[in-house]
Amino acid sequence: MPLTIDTDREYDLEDLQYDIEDSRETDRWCDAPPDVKSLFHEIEWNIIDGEHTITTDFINKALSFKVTARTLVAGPMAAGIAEVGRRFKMDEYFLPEVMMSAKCMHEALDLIRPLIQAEKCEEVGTVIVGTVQGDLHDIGKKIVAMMLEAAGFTVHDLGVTVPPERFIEAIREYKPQIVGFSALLTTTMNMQWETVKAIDAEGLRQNVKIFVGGAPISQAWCDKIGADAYAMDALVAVEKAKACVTGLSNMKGGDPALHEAMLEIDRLREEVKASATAVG
Amino acid sequence: MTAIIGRAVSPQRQRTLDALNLREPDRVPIGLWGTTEGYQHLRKQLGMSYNENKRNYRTGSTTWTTDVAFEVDLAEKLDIDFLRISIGSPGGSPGFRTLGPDEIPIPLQVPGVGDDAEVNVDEWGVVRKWTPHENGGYYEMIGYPLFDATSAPLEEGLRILNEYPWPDPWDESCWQDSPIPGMSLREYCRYIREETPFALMGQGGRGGLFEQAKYMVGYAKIFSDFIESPDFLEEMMVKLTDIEIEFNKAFLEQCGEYIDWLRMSPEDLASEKTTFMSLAMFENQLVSHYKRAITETKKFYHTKNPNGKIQFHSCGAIPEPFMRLLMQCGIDGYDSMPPKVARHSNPAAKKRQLGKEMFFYGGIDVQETLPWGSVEDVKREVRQRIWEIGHGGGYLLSSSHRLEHDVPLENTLAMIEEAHEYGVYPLPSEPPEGADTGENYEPWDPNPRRKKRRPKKTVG
Repeated sequence: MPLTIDTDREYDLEDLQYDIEDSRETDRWCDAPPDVKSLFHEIEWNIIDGEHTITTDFINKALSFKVTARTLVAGPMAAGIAEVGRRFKMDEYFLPEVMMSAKCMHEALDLIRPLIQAEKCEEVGTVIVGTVQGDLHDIGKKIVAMMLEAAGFTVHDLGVTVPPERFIEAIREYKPQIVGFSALLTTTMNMQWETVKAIDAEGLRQNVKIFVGGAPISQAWCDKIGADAYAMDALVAVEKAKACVTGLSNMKGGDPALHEAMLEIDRLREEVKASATAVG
Repeated sequence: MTAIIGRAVSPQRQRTLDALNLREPDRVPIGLWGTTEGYQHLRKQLGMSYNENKRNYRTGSTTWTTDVAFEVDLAEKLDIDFLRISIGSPGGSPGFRTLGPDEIPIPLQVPGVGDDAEVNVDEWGVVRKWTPHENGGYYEMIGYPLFDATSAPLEEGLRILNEYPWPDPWDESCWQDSPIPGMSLREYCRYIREETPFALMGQGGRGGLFEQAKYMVGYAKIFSDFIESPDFLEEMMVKLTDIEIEFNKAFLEQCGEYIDWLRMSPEDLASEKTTFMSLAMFENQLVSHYKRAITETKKFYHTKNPNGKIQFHSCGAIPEPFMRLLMQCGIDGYDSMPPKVARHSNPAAKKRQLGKEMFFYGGIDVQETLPWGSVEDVKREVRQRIWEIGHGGGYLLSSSHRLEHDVPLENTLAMIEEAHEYGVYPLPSEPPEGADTGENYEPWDPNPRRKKRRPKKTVG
């Protein structure tokens, strides 16, 4: 039986950062049946420990339990790599450890990719994503691409260090509703802006909604460069993308009302989170 | 040694030697360090003759950098105290060979080399592309010669390592030239020692240990190699250590008696944020190689100059425990003391923790203050740094990395002028405006997981 995870709670990075500390002992994946739960722990902790062959073994096992691929990505895999990020930030992990965990993620994502495509529900729209020129970061963008695919989008991943011309070419070729730019460095985030400008200069800005994401990216940055939406994680990206191609499909890229509608999704999410905390 | 008996030691050399030996000199000694473009800019602004073509300058010992030795006329004009000299490159500057489009010897790991790109290969087989920017340019690595060897089965990897055409440390063409046309390296060093008042720092290495390892296998691979291919990494470090020792011996053979101290091949062990690897990994996988390289080099150096000191370079935020380990490997001093990179870089704290045992070189911020600050900002920082690091000697003042083209002349002059004025010993006991005492520095914790975490959110 495919497993459903309460993703609003589980993917909240702030909570994960601190809860995850004891997750070997505590009952973090409480919705799952016991054997699936222990697999989730293994996947998460092998990503944290950088054991890539063991990670892929457990992913295969989890899939044989009929856990959906998107659950694995948004659940234990996202939790594992978020913990690696936290450890790096806190000087507990250094580049060697991070590189090993990144390898786990890449191998697991490669394994899951075809399954995500098979799980894909009804076609909703087309998205192109890419990491902007000069930036080689891949994992976050891959996760977003897969979650979008699982949600029914056709995703064209242009890869890393994608020059503005390539984005423009791809917009003409694939005619997507949404274009997503990833940037993980303060030194490369400016390229998101340059790419928006280049798309504008080509007269294509009205045809697409522009999404931005990545560690240094914020709503303020999104506003500054005139993008339509900022997504703090993959699930928000999916939610906003869905809104863009369904309810908001008549709005043009760069439309202030569209931008406002995107912010509304964040506000609603905050409210849900606040009420969940209050109820306890 | 006999050459200097009976010769009075110049004030410039004397104060440099005092600082190196952790004695208070008459004033803090000053040196300059710069890129070719920065040097051209400086000479031009000073109204001095300079060569328009950067390729006409003899560049430093790591073949890919654009380091240049500052000439004696400029040192006299600016009244600085010490100069730097590096061993040359095989075949003379620039020390690399420009490749045609069909000549690239290895698969490139960085895609998108344009047709008009200038692609070079250096003596190590590392492929670089000249990448211009508004203030000059740099050689960006695009091909790493041992990229595949590190992921091959160990036996195959070691075979590639052993058969690899490594640079020849005893290539005589490396010491035929010097910053003064017509003088060999040895003649130049003797000239500086005997005919000029300046102290001289030398650098014989043209690669390094961990630094060169990064270039051989690539930045992404080297880090996972610590965990995935430790045996290959170990063998490669042994090889690179052998070469570094020979580089230094060959250099010291030429000029060991004329240089006042030696800088090992620069090693970058840290980023702006923190070190590249944990203290445990550094200790278990790198320290023994540093120890051998530094001990062997020092032993040989002392046969030429019994008081010779060894200086170690790393950029970035190096915490104190790493420096202490390096000190146990035999280093006497550390550059370049970048003051603003991260919490671990705190110069005042470094002085408190290590200043009784080692000297410091650098310290004047080249990331913000020198290029973008006002003359007063520069002077304030010079006062702060001298007060923070200078007490008891052991401080050689310089920019915290190469001066580049974007540093205004008045800021370079302000740095020197303020050091001349404020740097006179005895230094004031009261701190100047904005100086750090280093007392509030939180020591680097090698085991931060033991720290208590923020409590979980309370429900309610």
